[in-house]
Amino acid sequence: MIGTRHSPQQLDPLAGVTAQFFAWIFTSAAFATSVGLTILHRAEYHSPLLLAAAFLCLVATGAVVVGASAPRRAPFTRRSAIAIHVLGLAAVGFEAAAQWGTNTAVRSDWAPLALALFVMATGCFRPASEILIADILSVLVVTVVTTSGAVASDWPLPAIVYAGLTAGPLLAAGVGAAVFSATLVTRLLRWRESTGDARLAAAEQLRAQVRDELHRERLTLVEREVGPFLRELVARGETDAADAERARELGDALRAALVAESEGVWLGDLVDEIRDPDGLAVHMDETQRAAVEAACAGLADRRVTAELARVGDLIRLTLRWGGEGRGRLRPEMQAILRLVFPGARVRPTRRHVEVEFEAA
Amino acid sequence: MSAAPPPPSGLEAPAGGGWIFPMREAAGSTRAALVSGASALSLVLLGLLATLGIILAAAVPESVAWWILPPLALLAACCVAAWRWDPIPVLGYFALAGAVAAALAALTVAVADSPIQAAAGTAGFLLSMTTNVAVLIGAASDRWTGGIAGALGGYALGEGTMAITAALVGLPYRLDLPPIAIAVGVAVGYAFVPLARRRSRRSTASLDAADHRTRARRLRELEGRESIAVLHDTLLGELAALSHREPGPLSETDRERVVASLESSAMLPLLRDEPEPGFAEIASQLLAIGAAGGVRLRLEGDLAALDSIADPLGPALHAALEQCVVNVARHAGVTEAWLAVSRSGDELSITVVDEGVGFDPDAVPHDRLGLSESVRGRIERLGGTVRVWSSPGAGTSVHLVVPWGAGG
Repeated sequence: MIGTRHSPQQLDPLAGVTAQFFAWIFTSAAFATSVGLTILHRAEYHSPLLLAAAFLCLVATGAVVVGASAPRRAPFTRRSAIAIHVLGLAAVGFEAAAQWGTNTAVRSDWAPLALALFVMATGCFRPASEILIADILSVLVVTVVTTSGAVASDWPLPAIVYAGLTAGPLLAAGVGAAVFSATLVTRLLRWRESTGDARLAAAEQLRAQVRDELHRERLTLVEREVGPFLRELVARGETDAADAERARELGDALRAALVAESEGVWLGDLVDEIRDPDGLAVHMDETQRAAVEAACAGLADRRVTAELARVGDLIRLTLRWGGEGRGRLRPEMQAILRLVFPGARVRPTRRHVEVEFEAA
Repeated sequence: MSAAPPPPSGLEAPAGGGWIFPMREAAGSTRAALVSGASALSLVLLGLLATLGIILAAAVPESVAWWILPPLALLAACCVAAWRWDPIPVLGYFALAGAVAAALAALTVAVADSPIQAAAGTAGFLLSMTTNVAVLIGAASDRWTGGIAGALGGYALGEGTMAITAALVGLPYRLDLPPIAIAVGVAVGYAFVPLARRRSRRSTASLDAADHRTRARRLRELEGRESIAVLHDTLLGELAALSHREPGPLSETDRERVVASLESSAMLPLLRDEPEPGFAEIASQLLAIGAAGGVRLRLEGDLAALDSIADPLGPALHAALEQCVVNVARHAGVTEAWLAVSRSGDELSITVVDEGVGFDPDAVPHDRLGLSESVRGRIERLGGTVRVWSSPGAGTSVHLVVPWGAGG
């Protein structure tokens, strides 16, 4: 199936920001389900300590889901997804232990349902194949835990039926999340493919426009003085000492204009102050430049400074902005920066961002 | 000899914007993904119920009616229809609602027929899970309110059908909370998704604009620096030559050179569109440039490899080598220089060496564009590297390395 290895967030960073909403919804639903079922079936739990441990794991799982889906921590990593399964399964184990031998209805077991809800939240962030594999492994663990509990409690129906009631919703949630992820990725890739020609045509148009502008600028630069001077010499067919002096002056002026242009740094147009003694800004690629430009545009009313320095094999860009003025680094821009510059340290409250990139 | 692959696309116009998914597409994709995910989830649940039904029927005959499979299959068909049927006509909605109601009514009767299941009334796992499926079918089939009315309608249809059928067959009615929670959760989720999406995509326009500006600026930088290099090689060179020239009449060659410089500068930045000469011609041009400056250039090594460097690296390399020879003729104060070409794996190395006066590379004024733009800038923009070894009195070596096909 197309799109099982990519994640939706990887291909569309802004989707990850929308998905934060889903993460909160599923986490709230998991808490509500857990608390509600515990209160309704409180008689089934014989160990408050183990139940508390199960809730502790639930809270930790929710914290991982909410934290990993936050734009300033984007992207949602595989490590976070694994942590969700491990902590969720720990909750399953503690809950089962808290009602070992006193469990009367497996449909009231909240931990597998909560884990199913958390797994559904990962559909927005992780690749389908990974969601499915991790889910199947968790389903196996839940099946073993429920089956063991059913055997220990000597329930009347086959133990596998009870396992189906706890692990089944988890399996369904995992498949649903994987299909959600794969559908988003497939449509994103199709969109990219279908608009590729149009985007290339637009790029060519842009290039023609840029060349046209440059052509006019170059003609203006040359035709202002150098062109007429040289044509006059060609027409005259000889040079004198004054011509030599004039040629030197025109050469110096033309050289100065070209040097000024060649020393221009793109980042200098976007910030109020730039410290880049080694000219490192030129190493950023187009997508990284666009992300930095969009971030600076959002902070346009503030005083923004940029500093570039080598850190080992990488180049570090630090953007700082003052407290005066309007504009802020919005969550979607935080997510974009994190996706374009993996590992970026985004600290909007401290009014600075540190990103690192390789010298292209 | 096989041709070298194209070099890095430093001067090509990259297609921009592929990383910014437009709002309209995002809305359609999220909806499609939600419908697909919900349908897949429902189908797995129905498959699970069918499996459990078979296990129960085989292991504990009294626990479930043997004929629950057809209603489950009917619900599965409704799931697929709600997912894939587009657009659904009004009659289609009636058919879907009728099929879902019929399946749930049949399952309610089946539960009433089973002593073990009947104990839980309408809140047993079979009816609870199938009501959830009815909610998801409603949400998936809703083409008007984005799933809100569908989810609530699906719940009302499922729960209503069950309650009426249960009353008719004497099954105790028990309010089941999970389907209510799922219906409300799905409806609230669908209601807030557009708001969340609008919030997260409010910067799409600014990102698009930034992407466009960045690409325009980058293209301008690349094209601009290339034309700076050409201007340096033509008009600046011409002006420098004129400033050092003894007064007197211009020869025909001088006039032709000045006219050619003027013509080439008037064409900027379009010079790369000219056809690139073959290496035999390039070699003779380099020899001629050297000879015009009083330098005998000796060409050595795998010169033919230069022929297989594709555009835009080929013309850039050609222009950079010309500038290297011009530099020797103008500044080295020697009558002989060497240009050696060697190939190693996926790299081509060209070294231009003279035993002239040399210079301190760190002391070159920043306004000298020959080595910085006409040689280094041209080559580095296309993925190559340039290294210069020189010191006063010890000659100069300029070493250019450009990418070349690994299989070359």
